[in-house]
Amino acid sequence: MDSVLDLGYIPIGSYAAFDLGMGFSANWELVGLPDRSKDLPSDGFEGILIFADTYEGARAWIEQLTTLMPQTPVNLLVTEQALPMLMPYFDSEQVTGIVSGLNDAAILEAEFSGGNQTAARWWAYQAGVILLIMVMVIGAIYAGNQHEEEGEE
Amino acid sequence: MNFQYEIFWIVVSFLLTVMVLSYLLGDNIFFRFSAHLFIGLTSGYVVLLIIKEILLPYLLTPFLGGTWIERLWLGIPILLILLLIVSQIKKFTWIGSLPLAYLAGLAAAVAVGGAVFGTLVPQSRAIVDSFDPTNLDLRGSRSWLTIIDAVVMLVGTIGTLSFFYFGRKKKPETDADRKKRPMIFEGLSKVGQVFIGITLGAVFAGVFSSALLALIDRILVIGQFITNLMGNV
Repeated sequence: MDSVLDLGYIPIGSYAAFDLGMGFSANWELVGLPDRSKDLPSDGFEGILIFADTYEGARAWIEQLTTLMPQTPVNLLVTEQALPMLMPYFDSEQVTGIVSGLNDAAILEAEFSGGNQTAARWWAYQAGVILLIMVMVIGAIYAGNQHEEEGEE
Repeated sequence: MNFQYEIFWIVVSFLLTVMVLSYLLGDNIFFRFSAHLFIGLTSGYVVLLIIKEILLPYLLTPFLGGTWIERLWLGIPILLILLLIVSQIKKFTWIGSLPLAYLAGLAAAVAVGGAVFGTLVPQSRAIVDSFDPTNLDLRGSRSWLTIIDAVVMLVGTIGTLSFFYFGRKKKPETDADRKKRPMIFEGLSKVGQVFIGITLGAVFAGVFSSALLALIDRILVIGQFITNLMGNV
């Protein structure tokens, strides 16, 4: 990767993605329209990395970019809550790669930096997940008992 | 100077974190203060962002310094903005329907185009491709797993689509039949329900996981702050 282009703040996901995609794929232009894409590289991007905390935000960009710029690899860096709904885009090969959640962060850290930022969070994360499972099991048992008692009454 | 500045923001972030976490003890003035502060800051930030990153560089600067033909093009969004502002006056509410219709039409065109060509078609093609015998040969010993995977995906897709089918029986025999879907869709929708349940479960696990990691991060910040404070005392 020779250079990284910061496009600044781009409002409204799907419109912006459509605009970006059309900037490379459209072979027509309206006479006299102010040039919006003058900062974009003339030969397109080597790849696009989408940062997103929600499924909807990432999907809007994936849908537009993979349609209008199918030759450009699209990669995702998303939160774990967005991952399950975005996996089909990876399976269908519309998205080249996904990094999401603590597990992926640990793998990347081990591969590139060798630090221990994720290790500090790992034990707390495991404890939190175990706690959730316990709360769910206790909740299910308690709710079941309560349901039976209401039925008897 | 820089050190004091950094210390100031660490203290502010520590206090705000504690204020938000104080909601665990019930709704209180500290939590409400932090929530209002967050909403106010976000609103102010968004307004500044829109002025600095959108209105100035893409509308006002080119309009004031552009050629006549460029100004003519930029006159269209400016006119639509003015119509929206004027529509706030009770007498001229109807004027707002023009820019709103333009926005709704554009949103529908972009969203529908994206959904069809970016999701529906590629996802359907992926399901069809997973049954492609050429692909199976390439994957060798894992071919049976691939077939099972493809079948599950196909059943899940058909089941989920059937769940959202809201048709009725063509020739209902009883009153109860009028409210029922055709038998085949009833059966498939039950299968779809299982897949939707699993999906929602996975989404919930993801939401919990993200929230848990955010909480851990905040607790680490508090712990680090207290450790540093104790170390300096």
